[in-house]
Amino acid sequence: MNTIYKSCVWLLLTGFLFTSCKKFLEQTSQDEIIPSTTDDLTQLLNAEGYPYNIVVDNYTDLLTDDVQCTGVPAGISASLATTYTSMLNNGTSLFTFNPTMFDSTGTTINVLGLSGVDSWKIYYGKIKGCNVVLDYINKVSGNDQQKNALRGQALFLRAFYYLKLVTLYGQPYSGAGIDPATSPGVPLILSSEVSDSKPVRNTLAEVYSQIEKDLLQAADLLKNNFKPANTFRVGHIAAYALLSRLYLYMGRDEDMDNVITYATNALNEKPGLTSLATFLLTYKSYDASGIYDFTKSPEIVWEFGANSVQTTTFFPSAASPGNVIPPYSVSPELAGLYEQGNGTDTTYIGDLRYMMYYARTFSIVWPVRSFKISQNKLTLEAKGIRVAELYLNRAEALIRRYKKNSSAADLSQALSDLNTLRANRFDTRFKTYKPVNITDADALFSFCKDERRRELSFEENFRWVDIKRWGMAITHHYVDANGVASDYTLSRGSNLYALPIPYTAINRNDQLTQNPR
Amino acid sequence: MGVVCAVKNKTGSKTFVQIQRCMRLLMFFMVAGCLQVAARGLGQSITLKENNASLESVLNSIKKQSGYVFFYNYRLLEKSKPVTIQVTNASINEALNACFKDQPLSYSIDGRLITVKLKDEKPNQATDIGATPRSVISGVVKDSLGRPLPDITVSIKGKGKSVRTDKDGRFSIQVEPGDVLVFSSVSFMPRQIIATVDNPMISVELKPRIDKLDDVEVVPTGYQFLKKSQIVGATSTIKASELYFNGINTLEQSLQGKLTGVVITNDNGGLVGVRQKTRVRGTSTLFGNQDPIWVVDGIIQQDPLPFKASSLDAYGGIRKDNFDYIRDFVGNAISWLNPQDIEDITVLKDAAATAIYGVRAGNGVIVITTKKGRSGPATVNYSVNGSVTERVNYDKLNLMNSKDRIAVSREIFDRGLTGSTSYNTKIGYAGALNDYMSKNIDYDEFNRRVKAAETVNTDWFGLLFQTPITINHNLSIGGGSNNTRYYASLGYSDVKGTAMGNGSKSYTGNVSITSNLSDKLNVTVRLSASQKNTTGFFRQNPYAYASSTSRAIPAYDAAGNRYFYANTLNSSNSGFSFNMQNELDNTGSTVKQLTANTNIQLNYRLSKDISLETLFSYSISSANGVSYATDKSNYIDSIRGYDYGTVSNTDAAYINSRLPFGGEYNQDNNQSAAVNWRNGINFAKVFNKKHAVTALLGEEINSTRNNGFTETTYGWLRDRGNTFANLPLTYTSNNTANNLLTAMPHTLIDNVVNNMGAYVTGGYTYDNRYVLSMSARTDYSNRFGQDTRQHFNPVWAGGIRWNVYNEKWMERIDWVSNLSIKASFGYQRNLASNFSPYLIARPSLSATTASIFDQNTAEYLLYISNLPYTNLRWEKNTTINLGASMGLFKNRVQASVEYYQKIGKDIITYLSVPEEYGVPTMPVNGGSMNNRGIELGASFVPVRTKDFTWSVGFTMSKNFNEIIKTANSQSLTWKTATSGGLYHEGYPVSAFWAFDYQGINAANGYPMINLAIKGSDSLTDPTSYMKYMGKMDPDLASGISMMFRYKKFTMSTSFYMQLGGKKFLSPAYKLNAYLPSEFDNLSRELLGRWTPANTTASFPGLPDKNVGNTVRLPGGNTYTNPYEMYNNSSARVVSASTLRCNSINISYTLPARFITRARLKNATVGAGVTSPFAIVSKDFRGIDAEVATGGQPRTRTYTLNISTSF
Repeated sequence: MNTIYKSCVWLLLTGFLFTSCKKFLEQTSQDEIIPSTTDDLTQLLNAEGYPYNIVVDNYTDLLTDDVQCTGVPAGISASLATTYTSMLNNGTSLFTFNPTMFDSTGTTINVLGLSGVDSWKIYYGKIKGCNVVLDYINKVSGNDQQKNALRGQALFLRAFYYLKLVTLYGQPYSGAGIDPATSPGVPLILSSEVSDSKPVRNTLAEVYSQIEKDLLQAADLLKNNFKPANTFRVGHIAAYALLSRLYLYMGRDEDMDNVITYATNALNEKPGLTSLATFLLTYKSYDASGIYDFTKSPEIVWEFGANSVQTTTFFPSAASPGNVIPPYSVSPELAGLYEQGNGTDTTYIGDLRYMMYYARTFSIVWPVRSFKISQNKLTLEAKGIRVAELYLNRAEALIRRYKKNSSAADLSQALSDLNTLRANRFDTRFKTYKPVNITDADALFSFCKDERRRELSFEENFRWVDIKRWGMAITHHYVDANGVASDYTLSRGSNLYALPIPYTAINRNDQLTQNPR
Repeated sequence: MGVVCAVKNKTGSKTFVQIQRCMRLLMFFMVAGCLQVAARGLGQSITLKENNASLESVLNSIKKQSGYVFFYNYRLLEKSKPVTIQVTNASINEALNACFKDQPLSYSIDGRLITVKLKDEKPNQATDIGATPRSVISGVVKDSLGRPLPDITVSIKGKGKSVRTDKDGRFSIQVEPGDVLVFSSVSFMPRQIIATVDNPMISVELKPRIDKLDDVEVVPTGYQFLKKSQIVGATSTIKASELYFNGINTLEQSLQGKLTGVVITNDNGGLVGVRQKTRVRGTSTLFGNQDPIWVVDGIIQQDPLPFKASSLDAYGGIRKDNFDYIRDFVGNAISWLNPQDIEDITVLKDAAATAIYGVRAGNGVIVITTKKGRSGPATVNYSVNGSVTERVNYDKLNLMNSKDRIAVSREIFDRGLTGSTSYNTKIGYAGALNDYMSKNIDYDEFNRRVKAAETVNTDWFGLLFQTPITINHNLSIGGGSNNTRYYASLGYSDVKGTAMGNGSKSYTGNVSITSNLSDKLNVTVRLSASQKNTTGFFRQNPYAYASSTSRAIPAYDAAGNRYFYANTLNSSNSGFSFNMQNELDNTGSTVKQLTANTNIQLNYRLSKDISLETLFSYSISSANGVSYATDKSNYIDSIRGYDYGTVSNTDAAYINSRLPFGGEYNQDNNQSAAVNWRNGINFAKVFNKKHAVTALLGEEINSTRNNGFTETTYGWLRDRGNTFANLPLTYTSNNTANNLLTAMPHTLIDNVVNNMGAYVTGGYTYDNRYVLSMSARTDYSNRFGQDTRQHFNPVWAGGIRWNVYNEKWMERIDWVSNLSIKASFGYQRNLASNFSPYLIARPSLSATTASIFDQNTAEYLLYISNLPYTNLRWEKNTTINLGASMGLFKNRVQASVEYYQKIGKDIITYLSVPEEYGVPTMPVNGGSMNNRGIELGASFVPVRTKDFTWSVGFTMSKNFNEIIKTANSQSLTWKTATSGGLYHEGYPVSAFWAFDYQGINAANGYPMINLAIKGSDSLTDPTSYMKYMGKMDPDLASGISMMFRYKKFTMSTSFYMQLGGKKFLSPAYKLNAYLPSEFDNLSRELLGRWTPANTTASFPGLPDKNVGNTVRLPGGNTYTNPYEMYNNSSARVVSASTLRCNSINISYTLPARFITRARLKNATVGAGVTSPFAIVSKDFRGIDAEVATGGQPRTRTYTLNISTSF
């Protein structure tokens, strides 16, 4: 009898003691994890830090002189007229330099809502991804090399996005009358912590200096710890390349040495360019895989894919551009910069870039939009960093230095850089490339600018930044849907050099001062 | 099992003795108070003046004066001497001492009992039979109606001896003088009778225990049974016998208006097997779960389906996917329970009452206790009821007949309101006119067709609805001995909805056994299982169809075949032939639910004051839901791209079809298994008869595993042996990949939720007058990312109570039978489940390969699911509850009033943060919400005579709810403002706005709306140009139930009243392409519309082709039109105040002689009706309130039931 009672008591007591099992409270989830290894963070950075599959900045070309407006052509089918009218309307406020372009209430079309236009939101979303990785890198397991590799990539990407933001929404660093120490840049968010405090805009000097700091650190970390397995991940060469771009954009005379140093660092390790002539199959027929196809083109430093070939917000799809000139297309000014063969000589086409860098309409051979496509022309349009930019960056810096000190070495190196690039861009199948030899500093600078425009059109906002830093004025000839034309001018040093901050961002943060407009 | 048997065999009579002791102790506590009172009431002063009287006569006069009772053997008195005594105002002792001074006898006093013995006889020497004679007392036990009561335990107080009454209520028992006989039974009030030798044949009448709302002396909390006088928190209890179950209404529905503070709303019209919304004391969280938890016999019930957040569309409306149609027909956590097995239901409302449940109880707890067996021979109960529900018909609705409807179409064309192309259809007036205009038919044929359309008057309700008969059978058996009691039941119900094709069948079984294995160990085992099959609809709603479809559309063609037509204006199935009856034949949903529960409860009494309890339960439930559409349905036509059977395999349409063969089959299977194990130590002790201390300390673990799989498969061939046809891999001449192949989603659910909690509750009562009580609980769980292990965050509450009626000075006020005041204070907490202090990552939720891995590098991708929110605190509700209850005139009038205030602070809301942080919003403890309310419960018995009783029960709840602060980002559109879904500071939850209606434009009949902006920024606040109308939830909900009993007839009525609360009338103008389409029926309200001939009408005229979505609302790019605004304008808002009679039922207990002849114990026949009538606001202009607001009218259900026990 007693034993039964005792056993019952023991049963109860053991119940009290052993039901509190630690394993019982171990956290579980079917589909969520707390990142705990560098491998987890790498996957997170790939999705949330890298610009994977994002469409962005596909509107800045409309602000440049690389694009013309011809309105909606008459006599086209009703459906095409509708499509073209919407493209025309989408771009109107941008092309006409309307200072309220990003205020949806000011115009009938919410430009900001169009795919890829709200760069502010897109880039700050990616910066969050980089900051999360940087904040958590010390809380996960993994060796120092893996952690440093991740840290280097995250720092690079954050710097890359800040350089995008500050060149879009800030005045040029060394623009006329601009004091970087006071001119507003963008708010620097360097931690993943979200709070309700409202960040204010840092100055241009603070933003550029942060970018410089991040990139220098990234270059160091990446050089020692990371060798990218493919062109879609960034290594130290990309960091050198971006540094050369950064210093060129800062644009003071004292920055030119840094441009040359970092371009040289990068080119020493990766000098190769892709000869466009190797893409030619027969006369006027060529392999359309493009300059960003990593299987064919050795000059890619880093590329990221964006589904912008298919976006038809402003331009017709690159895959099927149609057979009439769309409202916006490549300007005749830019088209005219390319040296062409005589059109009948089947052995010499001249500058192959005119043929290969643009998508063109079928029946009217007219360049419409960029076609610097990647390995799969239907799904990806790559952007990124190419070796060609490094030669151009270095040449421009050398020419500016030559202009000051008339050093023959600088001149010859600059000419060599330009000619190296051009030699890979011309039809050299049967004709050897004829190098240019300009010795007048101003003329050479002007030639270099044109070369930059020819090479880097419709890529990474290059032309828009160049217009700003070179202090250029632009006049746009706008033709509305009814065919009525009018001219709009972006003056030198215009307020619009710093694009208006989207109203959606200001609505959420009243501490953001809008750019004067 | 061996152990159990062994214990049982070995204990036997010893157990019995101990039970007697135990009962004596219990009895002592229960009657202690009464005895004190009684003792004080006895006359202490005795005046005697006797000369040489016999002792017997002297003792008799002492007995008369004092009320004391004497026990003696007559033979003893023969030895006595005559007594001469003279005392005045003496005490009983003095008087007795004087009497016994010279006697050979002595006496002893025990309570009110005086025993006379021979002097020198020692009390313990009870062996001398001659000296202490025994005698046999026998008698009969009857109820108040004089019926003999079998199975009443007759025991001798303080001695281990008991017998039971036989079937004629007879008993006989051997007693000694001074023995007190105790008559006890579960169903009757216990009674004590002192055995006197002079009365060896007694007749005892027992009164039944009164099962009234406020007479429930013990309140189950799921963890404890607390005496009502010791409860400090807000609770209310109702006996199941006071609820009206007719087999159709759910448990929640029958609770409507019966419990104060509980509000039940039915959002799903008259469908069978759907869920109801239950709220206890308003809404206290914005983003968390707002439902109360259900507890059955101490076990928290899990929802059969894991929580699934609804996906919202752009306007904040809920977007239904294929599986949501199934989920509608899966019941809630207690749908498995047979209502007939319920003993009582208690709702725990405030923090003091719910603290023991911890964080899960933030929305209140509803505790259900099931029936247990009662000791005695087996009693079998069988009851059957059948119900007939009225069919919905056009009389209850305010819809046009086909003649009125054709007249509207005629006006549209006569006045040229529409352009010819925008109103292109083949049916109705427009169809005939189109054919005439295009010269397909002549004028005579045109007239003939219009005439036919005017007279067809299709009765859609007659075709789609029925008058269903619902049957319920319930069989239960219960009984047992003092040591073991059992109860078992079987239930079957077949419920049919009024809409053809909707119904449910369920089977329930339940066994419970309670046994005292020894005097210390008690075991309760319960096992129950149920199966429920529900059939419903898929993507079709017969009520919506019948009430919105023009009666000019025929259901059958001239040849008597089903008439198919194409609704060209319905974008989802445009152009495909449709017939509702065919559609219902070919689409549908079924849900099979299987539930099994078992629980074992052990109680072990360690000592007199301490007992241990362990409760283990295991329950499994599986829900297997299917929704389907066959290839013959219009829904599949729209996927297939052509009508069933119209295309051959060489046609382009066939090549262009993604689904040339077969239909759609959706399956949603869920299994959940829950284990619950609870251990507790109970302490209860009374010190110095005044200080009662109780304490309960325990811990509980709970583990629930959910497994589920959902899938959609196309190509299902129902009529070809339920086989599946393969889908073509490509379609169209371009060989486009078939996207239906990737549109067959599969979801696998496999998760475990483990919880562990520790709880403590304690109470102290002084002299049954002052009560102090505290409880606290802390919980830990394996919930992902929360790491609650690190946060000791107990929920606690406490309260005090003053039982005023137990004060001495209350004794003088004899019309007050009960009065007590209580107050409680405590915290309830809530942790919104989606936030965490950790960074949480997740793989892609979409099956698209590009989002699963990087297409360029083939590396896997992880996404941020939750940024770390380190500063996030638990939501906190501070609750104050004040209550008073009283009983007057021997509890004939009872009333209780309670006031509460719930101040919700730190409620998690979303704060819009600057875009620079890369996220649009962050959760913050920003919100606060205030709930105040008053609850009134009363019951009184105006008349109580032997033949006639009239009793009234009344409940009333009034809740004020105000959002003090909110920082959440929400969908700020006029649609959320009109839906009550816009949370606005300073306004209550469910506040809504309407467009400001200004009247009718006499020139064109358009409604005029004032869109002027008042105050705040129109960009972010649609309410700036709208008018505040009030709130949708009622302010005051009240239930009144009355019971009349005349002899063997009983009539009960139940009313429900709600005051306050406003609603929109259903849209007057259902616009499709800006004009009422030929497919839609219209409200008869439109008969009074504006026309060029009637410019002073009260209703706007028909819209015309110029009414596009051209009105731009202030501040943004939202466009609408005057008629849509009119539908949502102040002109369409009405008061939702209602007085509704929920049920009336009459029952008749068959007379005793009939029952005995039929060898029954009891038999009752009854009849009832639900929803017989309602009184609503005059705004409804006599239209059924539910119809006017767009719902399905509740139809009456008539029920007949027979209940017998034998």
